[in-house]
Amino acid sequence: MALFGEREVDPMQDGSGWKANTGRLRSRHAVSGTFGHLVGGYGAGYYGYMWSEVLALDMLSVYGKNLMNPVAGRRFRELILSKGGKGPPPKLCASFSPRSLAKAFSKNHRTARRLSTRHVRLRRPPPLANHSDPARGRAAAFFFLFTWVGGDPAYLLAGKISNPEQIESIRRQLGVDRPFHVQLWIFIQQIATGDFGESWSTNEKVSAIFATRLGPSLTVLVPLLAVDTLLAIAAAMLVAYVRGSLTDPHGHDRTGTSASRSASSSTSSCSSTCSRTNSAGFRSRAGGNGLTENLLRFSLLPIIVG
Amino acid sequence: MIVSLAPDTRLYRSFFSTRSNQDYVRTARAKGMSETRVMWVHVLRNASIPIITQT
Repeated sequence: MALFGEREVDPMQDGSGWKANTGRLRSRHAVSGTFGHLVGGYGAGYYGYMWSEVLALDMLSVYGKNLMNPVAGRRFRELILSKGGKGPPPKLCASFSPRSLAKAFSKNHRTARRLSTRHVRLRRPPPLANHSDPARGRAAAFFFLFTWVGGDPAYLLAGKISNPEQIESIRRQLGVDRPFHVQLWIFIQQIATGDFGESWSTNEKVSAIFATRLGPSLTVLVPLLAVDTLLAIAAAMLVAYVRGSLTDPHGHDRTGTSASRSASSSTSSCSSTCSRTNSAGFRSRAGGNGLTENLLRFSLLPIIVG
Repeated sequence: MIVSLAPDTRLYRSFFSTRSNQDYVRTARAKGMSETRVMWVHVLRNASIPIITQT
């Protein structure tokens, strides 16, 4: 329960509700949605979790309302437990509850999703109104990306002690149970006013967080951009000035006229010989004579520079 | 730093080289201007327009 500080605090206790307890949060944890479960190979495993939940719920449905159903219990013991790993699992499951698995999935996956504590929201966003304003479209895309990928913030905040009522209560207090278009409108208002509310983890105002970080970031970034540009201009001018010589391999991909023109202006007169040496120079710079030379000579440069 | 400089340099180089092939540069050279002055005044001034835009 690192999220709730030094001692374990049930956020729903002493009747004060979750919001009063957030003031006591000591954590520096950034609560954020991640892509981790969706990309990087874990997605297939996640699909497996969902399937096992579907199977479990499907088998549970045999019991009906009574969990102590003796008939179903005996069947479970005989068809599943006593068999162990003796048969392929799909066959064992099918012998216990003969419903087809595809049907079980379509019937149970809503329940499975509701019950799952690792609940990922994969709800399709409602159709957008035809906005002509690109900024608003971008805001909407941003908003839906976060609601879609980020998962349910209530689950992240509730931590391990989640039960459905607590989750519902947190969702109500955060306002994430409201319809999508209402949430989107609140989000647009927040962008327009610059008031993004308070941070979940530190209770600081988000606009204040932005304001205090913006200055230092800009003092680093703006001079860096200026220096970068000036250096690039200097280097580019130099390269453009000595164009056609060996320092400028890109110049050779043009037709010979432009390269030889600038070459003739900077050096003395040479018209046909220049292009010939240029093409020879180009070939030598494109790579070595073999793997060893490429490896020992040309591949070292990016390693040294990088 | 050096690595991040490279793409900018490549881009600016092409700005400079397109400018230095323009007719007004040839005219400036034909007037007998020094190569340095051509580069700094005629080429740099005109090439700075796309550079500033891009930055």
